[in-house]
Amino acid sequence: MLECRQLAKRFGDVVALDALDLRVAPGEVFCLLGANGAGKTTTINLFLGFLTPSAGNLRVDGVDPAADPRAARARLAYIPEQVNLYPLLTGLENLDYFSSLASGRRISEAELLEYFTQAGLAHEHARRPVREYSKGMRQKVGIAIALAKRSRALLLDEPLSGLDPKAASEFCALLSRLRDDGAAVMLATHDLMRARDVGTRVGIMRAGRLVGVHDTADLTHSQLEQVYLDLMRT
Amino acid sequence: MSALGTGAAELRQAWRDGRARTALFALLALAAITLAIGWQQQARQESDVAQATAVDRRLWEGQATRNPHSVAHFGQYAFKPAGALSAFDPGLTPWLGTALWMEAHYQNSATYRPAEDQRDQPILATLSGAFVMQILAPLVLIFMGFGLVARERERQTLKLALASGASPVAWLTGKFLALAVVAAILYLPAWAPVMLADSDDARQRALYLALAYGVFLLTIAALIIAVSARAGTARGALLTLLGGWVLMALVLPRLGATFAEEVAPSTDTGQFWRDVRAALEGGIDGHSPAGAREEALLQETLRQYGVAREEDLPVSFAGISMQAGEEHANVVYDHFYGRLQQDEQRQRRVLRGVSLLTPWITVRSLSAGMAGTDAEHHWHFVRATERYRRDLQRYLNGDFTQNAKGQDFDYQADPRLWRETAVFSYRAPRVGEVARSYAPDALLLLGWATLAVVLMLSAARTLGREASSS
Repeated sequence: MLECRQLAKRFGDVVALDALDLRVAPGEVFCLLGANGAGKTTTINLFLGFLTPSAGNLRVDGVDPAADPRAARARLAYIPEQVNLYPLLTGLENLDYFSSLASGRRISEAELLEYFTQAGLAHEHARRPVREYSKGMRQKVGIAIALAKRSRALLLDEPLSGLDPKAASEFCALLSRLRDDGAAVMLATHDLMRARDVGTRVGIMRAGRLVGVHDTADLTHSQLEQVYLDLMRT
Repeated sequence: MSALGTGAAELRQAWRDGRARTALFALLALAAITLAIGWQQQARQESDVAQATAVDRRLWEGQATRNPHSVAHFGQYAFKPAGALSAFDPGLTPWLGTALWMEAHYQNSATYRPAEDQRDQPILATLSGAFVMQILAPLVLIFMGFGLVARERERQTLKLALASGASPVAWLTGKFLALAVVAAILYLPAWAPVMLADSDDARQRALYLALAYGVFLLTIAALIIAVSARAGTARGALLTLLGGWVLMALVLPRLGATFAEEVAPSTDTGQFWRDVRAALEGGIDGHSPAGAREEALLQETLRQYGVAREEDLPVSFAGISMQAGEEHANVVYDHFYGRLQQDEQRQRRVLRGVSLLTPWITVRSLSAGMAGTDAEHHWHFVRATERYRRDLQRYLNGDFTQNAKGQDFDYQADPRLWRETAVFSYRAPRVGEVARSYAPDALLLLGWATLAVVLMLSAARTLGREASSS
């Protein structure tokens, strides 16, 4: 579903990503771990077609995002670290707007409310302006947008950052459900514990290179932490 | 779908944003006030002109038995009618003069310039609907549109929108549509001239005028979107747009006028009249003094009538001489006023060149042209008064020539002579004629509109890539 070979991205002399080989299959949550500047967001931006690769190739459900970014984005849902919405619109209006951008059609209000609920948001919040929402609620609207898009692949760029534990837990539960429904998920995060819980595999990045890939089933939380710290030290 | 959806979402937010509503209502209120004042001033001027014309005609017809040449010197005023659309755009009227004194021997310049009386007026009284449309409406558009793309880039809603699958062109078009709706609301005052119009011709002019403002505001809207799409931050977009507004709306038109004056300098008024006086006295070539011309005319007249002495002529030679003096003066005035008009035409061409740098010069020119308050309409009025003056002089001198034989300036004509003269009436050029004259300006404005759309669409093409930098 999400695939890249020898993917590289340079900004002038700076190598942001180097020889990345990766494949995220349907029903899998692949967690990208690494320090700031390791190349996680660059990887996501390449899959979204916001950046063009310096070398290598990548595919989203068989579509090259560098050649046809819109077609690739149509097959993806994306949730950034901060889901910034339109503060003067209600949650439902934001969902309606972004969903119509994705599908090119208007989704009925009943269906939108269904996605709203599935994302863990209460009905009574649907008609309140987003400026009154907490970060966790905005992230959930981001999930609702992704749900409404019915994409088979999700790119999540540190979506857990700044969420309170309850919101983070609910968010991960949603991800697990999407994974179980067959979605291919790439999750960039600093949160090793959540990565271990929700991920099927973790990839550890350092200075633009993928330096280690592990099945989460093979590691406990503390083992993952140790592996991560060891790879960061070397 | 996505363009309309984006536009609708943007408008919904603008409506909920109290600042946007306030700015819109404030501008429309200001436009309504300036239009009301303009309409009141125009109505007062119309009434003044009607009264002054009636009084002047009464004085003209009330002259007792007298010599036709004295009547010619008594003269009459021609008052430039304040067209209905001048209430919206007074154009150059305040500086060009509204009344012209028509008398023997002299083609006077227009006098009574409202600008001379404006210093003590409150600022609102000096504003016009055209000023609101040309200067303030674009400013409000800038404040409402600068962040339409740049702020979304900052907030990362742009990235979310594009990642959702929005087409950059459709999304940006949606933003443009939203700003175009705002522009359409700001554009409402441009329809006021259609309501002010008092004839089919004026109504047609008003429609052209409204069309020009429509294209102008949409051009500005597209330029705002293009700048907002290319700016890194909303603050950067605002500063760029405000800088552009100051430069294009305020500085360049002024610099353009100065540059045009440099390239095609107008004759100084004092020098103009010195040149006219010299040419009247010595002929345009400077080698035909009045005395020599009169002697040649006498010889020619004697030959024509087959007599040897002036006393033997069957007509008054003084009348013939005065008419010849008028004909000579006409050539002199045609030459020097023609030169003035040529200077203005050259300046207009230079300004058209400068308008490649700013659409404000073009829209100002089109607006005044359609409102009938530009220099071209002024000259049209001047030519009409001059035709009337010359016909009148010919008529009075003709009577003098035929009837003043042996009496010359002691001759007293019957008052019916001047009471039966036609009343001066002026008809402004027809809209078709004006439209032809302003076709290059209309094309320039369309050129600006095309450029703005191209800039906007080219910004859209880079939008998808730029989103990652936010």
